[in-house]
Amino acid sequence: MFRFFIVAFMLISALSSARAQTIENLRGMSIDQLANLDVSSVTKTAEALSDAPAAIYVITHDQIMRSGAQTLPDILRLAPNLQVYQVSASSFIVTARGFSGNINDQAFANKLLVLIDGRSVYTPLYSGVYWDMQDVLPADIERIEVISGPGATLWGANAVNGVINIITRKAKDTQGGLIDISAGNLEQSVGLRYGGTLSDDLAYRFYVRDYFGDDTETASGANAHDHWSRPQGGVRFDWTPSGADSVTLEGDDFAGSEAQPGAPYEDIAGRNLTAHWTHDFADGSSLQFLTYYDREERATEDNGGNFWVDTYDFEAQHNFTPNDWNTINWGGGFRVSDYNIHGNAGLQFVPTSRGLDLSDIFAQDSIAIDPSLTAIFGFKIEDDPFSGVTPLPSGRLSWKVGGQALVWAAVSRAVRSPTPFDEDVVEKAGSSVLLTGNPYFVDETLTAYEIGTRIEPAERLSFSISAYYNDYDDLRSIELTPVTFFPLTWGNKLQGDTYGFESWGNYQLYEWWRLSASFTELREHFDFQPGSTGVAVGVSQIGDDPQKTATFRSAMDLTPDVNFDWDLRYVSKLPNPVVPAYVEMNASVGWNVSKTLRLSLSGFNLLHARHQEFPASEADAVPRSFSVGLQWRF
Amino acid sequence: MAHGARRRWIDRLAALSAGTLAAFMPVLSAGADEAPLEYAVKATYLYKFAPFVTWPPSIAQKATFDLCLSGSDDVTKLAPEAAEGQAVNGKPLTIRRLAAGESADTCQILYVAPSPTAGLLLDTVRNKPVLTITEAAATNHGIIGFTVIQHHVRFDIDNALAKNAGLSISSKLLSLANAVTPVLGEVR
Repeated sequence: MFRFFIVAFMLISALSSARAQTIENLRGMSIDQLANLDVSSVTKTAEALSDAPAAIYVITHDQIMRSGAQTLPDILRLAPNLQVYQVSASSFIVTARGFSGNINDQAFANKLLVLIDGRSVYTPLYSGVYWDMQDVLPADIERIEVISGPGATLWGANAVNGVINIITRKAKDTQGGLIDISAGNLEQSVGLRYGGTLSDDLAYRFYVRDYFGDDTETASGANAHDHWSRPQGGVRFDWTPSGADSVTLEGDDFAGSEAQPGAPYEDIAGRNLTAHWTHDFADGSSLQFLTYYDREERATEDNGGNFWVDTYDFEAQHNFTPNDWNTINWGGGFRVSDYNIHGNAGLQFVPTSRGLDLSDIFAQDSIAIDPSLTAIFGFKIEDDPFSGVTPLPSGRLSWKVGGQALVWAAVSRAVRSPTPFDEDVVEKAGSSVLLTGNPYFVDETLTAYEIGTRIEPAERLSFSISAYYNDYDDLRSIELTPVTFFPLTWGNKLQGDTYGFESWGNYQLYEWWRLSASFTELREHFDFQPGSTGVAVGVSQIGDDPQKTATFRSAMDLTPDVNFDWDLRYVSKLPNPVVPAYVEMNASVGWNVSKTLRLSLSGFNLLHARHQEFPASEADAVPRSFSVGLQWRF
Repeated sequence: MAHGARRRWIDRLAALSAGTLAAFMPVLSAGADEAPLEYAVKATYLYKFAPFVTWPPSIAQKATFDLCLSGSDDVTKLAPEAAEGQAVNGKPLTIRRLAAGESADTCQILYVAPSPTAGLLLDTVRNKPVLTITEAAATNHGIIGFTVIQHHVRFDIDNALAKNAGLSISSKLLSLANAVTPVLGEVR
């Protein structure tokens, strides 16, 4: 029904609106006006971010388009500071600095904050991300900022091991029509987007997309029966009523259906509406408001259990510069998540519904000690649903060495606060209870020490190295009931530390040929606190993480209109359960046939008929795949 | 909710019908382009510089004003559309794409897109009355070089190069520049 509304709306607006006449508008401008025009929507923000004292990698629009990747997890493989594991056609694990989880031990990757245009998309039910429920038309993504390491003070709740900030293009940058078709042996996608203006200061776009993922294969090569489909549509309006104000209103609606081996289909659905308002004052200060509503629903057919979550969020932030050496950001937010879970025979929640309240206030001061040295102190107080008030301080230092290098260091505290899955879950086999949540479950905590540098020794060469030492405490553990073993319950009796580094670099060999490489290393040491009864389960419940990953990427413009890109990625052995190390390759050729037509051919995971990214006991294999793409602008 | 398999077919049908409808839309809208604003601004600048530059009298006798484009980037892609139908000092503006190896001597304005051979072409017109424009960061830059500062497209001017070329750049344009390389011996 939603789709037919979209199609009708599309036709009406196509008839009534003129396209943005960017070039026409520029013609009418004086040279002074050209010099004063803000082109920020397109400026490579990567450059501005090079001052950020954190391990940040920016996936650009261009990289996404050239890769041919169709889903967010596959796009996130472009970031060397993330680890992405495909578990089935629709299910992915995305994590930073370890903690991939252990599906059989009911531990799911849950230490990332993921934002789409400011809307938090990790589920409040267990703090992980349902990646099958997050989609953005790849052509509409402006950039993705990936920060590995804690960002709780700056970014918000759950930013323990990293932050993924997905930013879509403004409506005025997606004017005109686009038909984007990708057809392959494993994935098919049809996208349609149209953007226009209603007046000089009000631009819009809307899109519909249908995505189909075909069955993958099990480790032995059998059909994994996990095909899925996911139609989605949405709109975005950008309004600049004055030079000082900008307002964005955007929303999406989707529904999908996923085959499950040996079980009925699982249906997913959701919708969201986000509003932003930024006001710039004449003195350079600014005020930002963000509010959103988000609904997520999952249901296994034939009464196999279902849930819904409604989240309402409001945030405000004020930035100002009281004097020439201080810049202060402060603000706060409030979030309510109402949910209802109708369990099945094996998985229930008691109580079945709650309203979770999360609120925070924060302040951060950037102090310019001298033009090359900046200290940043941040403090956030968060009031979490189950565990109450917790402080989240951080201190950062950034030092510009000449014009070519930035050295930074940071110490921060972050927490993964308790969720209904930690507190309320009841898992059963028949009438016997296997596992119960723990009403006394507390925050999992992290104190992180980081140091890094970004260097541009020459115009064509840049690289980044970040090293970290993470000290974790009160991590979730499986605890046994004395004598009877069952029911199991959650405890906070795991602790440990991880350390490692992430490095990546780019070398622009010629204007038309760019080489990139990355290398990461991770070491994990975990043990049980005294008194834990679940020692026998072992520390593999935390995750199955590779010690090393590496990528090498070549991006060539063979002619101004033909590009040829390929990359290799290496993931070392997963230790427990063992998954062999693998090397895989993607390659893509794109041809801009004309100003309005682009054709492409992409191959993914070309080196093996299929490879295993996560243990076969928990995950399907990832088959080799190909696709042809067509993008037509009108 | 509908059963998954059936739903999938409904989805496909809906997507196809949306695509078919969209196929009729080009007649309703002109060819929009998604090239970022930064490049459209640069392309527009190319001919907007002309009123602030004085060429030697020999050029004044030419019937047209030639804007030449060498190499290929987002600026050269947009420039023909941006400069189409414009006039400079009462003369119609002609846009010429230079082929590899083609002389740029008869151009009044020459935009050279980044490429390994950009410097060679620029060197051939160093002492000729051609207003050369490049990215400011280019190793061998032109008289005017584009640079993006704080979300604004600005430009540097090498006035020493301009003097060698026999061009006079107005103080108005110099005052708008982000940085000016002074003429040798000039005190600024």
